[in-house]
Amino acid sequence: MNFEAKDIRAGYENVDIVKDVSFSLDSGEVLCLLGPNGVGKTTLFKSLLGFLPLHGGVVLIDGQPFNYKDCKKQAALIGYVPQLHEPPFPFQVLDVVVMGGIAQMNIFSGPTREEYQKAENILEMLDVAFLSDKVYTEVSGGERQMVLIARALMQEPKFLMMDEPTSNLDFGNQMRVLQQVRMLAAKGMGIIMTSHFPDHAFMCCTKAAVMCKDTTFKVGSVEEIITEEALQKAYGIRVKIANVDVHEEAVEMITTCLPILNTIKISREGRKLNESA
Amino acid sequence: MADEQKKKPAVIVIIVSSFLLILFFFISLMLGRYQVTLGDIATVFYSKIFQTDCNVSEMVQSVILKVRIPRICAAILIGGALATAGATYQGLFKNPMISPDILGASAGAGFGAAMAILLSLPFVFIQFSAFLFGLLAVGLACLICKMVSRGKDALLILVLAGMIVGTFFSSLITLMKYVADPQSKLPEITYWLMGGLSAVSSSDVLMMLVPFFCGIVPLFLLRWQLNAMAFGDEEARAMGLNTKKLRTIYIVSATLLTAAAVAVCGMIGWIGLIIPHLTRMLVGPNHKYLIPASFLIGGVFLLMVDDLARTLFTMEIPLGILTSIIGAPFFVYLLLKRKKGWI
Repeated sequence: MNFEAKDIRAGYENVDIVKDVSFSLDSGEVLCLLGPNGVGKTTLFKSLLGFLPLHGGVVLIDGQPFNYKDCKKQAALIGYVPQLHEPPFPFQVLDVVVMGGIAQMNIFSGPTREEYQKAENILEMLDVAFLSDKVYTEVSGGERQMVLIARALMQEPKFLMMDEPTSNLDFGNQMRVLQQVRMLAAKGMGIIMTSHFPDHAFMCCTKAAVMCKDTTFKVGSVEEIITEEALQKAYGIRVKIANVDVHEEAVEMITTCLPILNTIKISREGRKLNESA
Repeated sequence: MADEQKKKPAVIVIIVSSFLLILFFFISLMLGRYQVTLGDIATVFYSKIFQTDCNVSEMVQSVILKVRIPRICAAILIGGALATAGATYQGLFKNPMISPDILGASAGAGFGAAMAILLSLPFVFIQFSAFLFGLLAVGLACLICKMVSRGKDALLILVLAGMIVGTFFSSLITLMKYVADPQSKLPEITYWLMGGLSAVSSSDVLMMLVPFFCGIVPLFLLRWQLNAMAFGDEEARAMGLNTKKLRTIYIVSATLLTAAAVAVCGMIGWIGLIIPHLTRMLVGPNHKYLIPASFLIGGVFLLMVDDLARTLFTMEIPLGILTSIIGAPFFVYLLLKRKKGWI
């Protein structure tokens, strides 16, 4: 399937925050959306999810204009993995996952045994079957992110939109989430995610887009888009992109970007003075 | 399956509280200044159902049928209605600190009643006016929210608007009290505001049934969706729910319940706040079980408190006072006892 955004304009009330956004994504592709804080990544996300009305442009699914009014149809097409949130009530993890299927259920009866079984299978697929009877408020941030991914998968969507899936996670959990992104893409899911780390795009994405403060939006293959110049323009810092051979059998060269910090010289005496002061 | 084991306590709680409700129904029938035995109750019920002659005195019959049964039914319905409305609002607003009068329903109803009393309207009109102004207050809060929020942060603004409307109507109540005749009207208004079931008749209960069913049926049917709504508008929408429509249904239903309850018995606090808490501790936050269990436990709770209100002293204690006196320390106890995270 193909997801295409064409000349999207979006924002709050009468103010356009995002302009001229166009991109296309096929099943199995992963698009990483990069850009500095406040550039409108979340606004764009919310508009593509139908939370905010589009100010202009159109979203096409397989060439057909998509109508956001039909929430049910949207749920079967686009899954949403929100940023890590503070859950309101201590639901059981399995109940949270099974909620994802709510649009397909009979509106009056709750989930059936089969739906619970499906939720358990999804947790198993994500390697977190042990969470199923835990309390959602008591699991760690990384585990919670997995639960949210499981909940979105319960919708059986064709595309997945992940809003900073790695934010607030420790190093290991970030990589575990990215691993799942790769796995889902390999199974044919089209994924759009936002991230603050260009490295994440190198790790698991096929496409990248960079948004800048001057409302330019550039999209293309990861290598094409994530360049030293582009990052410098977007974030205002110096960045070097390096290819590293890690001498691992299964892994080819790893591309990574390295920010260059200004060297600040402080004499030992000076630092001591500061500390005592 | 793991979830099966987890679901069982919830079902047990619902069964046990149903039994308690029936048990207290009969206990409450016997309680009171006028002695009624279980045998009397059985005979009266038997004769009513099978239309046979009744060998129990007229007095006992009328105590059971005209006084106690309406009062007990009202206590169960009102307790259940307030607890269910509270559980719904708490789920909808993602906040366990919210009670059913958050949108101004109680203050509005109080004003409606106070005004009707001041105008010397008959009792039925006092109730009707209370119900109407309860709905009006919530409608006003929703209107303010719509004007202010324009679709953004709607829930937070709705709560704020509810507080504004509530405070506004509270001051109007005070104004009514200020201008009321201190010999006759003032005590009547004050007494109404304290809340109580002593004046409830069977026609009150029957009248209350209409808004009650209009409110409780949608909440019971759509209770599972509340789970997703508790994760917020955006997430619920992404899961495929028509959140605007659902939110309206929940608010209208819960408001109908609250306004109907307040109209019949005056302002009774705490039930809508603590019963959902207590129930959540027993059955967990899954609204599939939380809503029916809240209803049952709320009904049992208010029935027990009302029994205390009418039997503890020779003079009846206003119900609103007693629920707060029992409710406050009970809430502290619940907070101390709560399991980690199971707020």
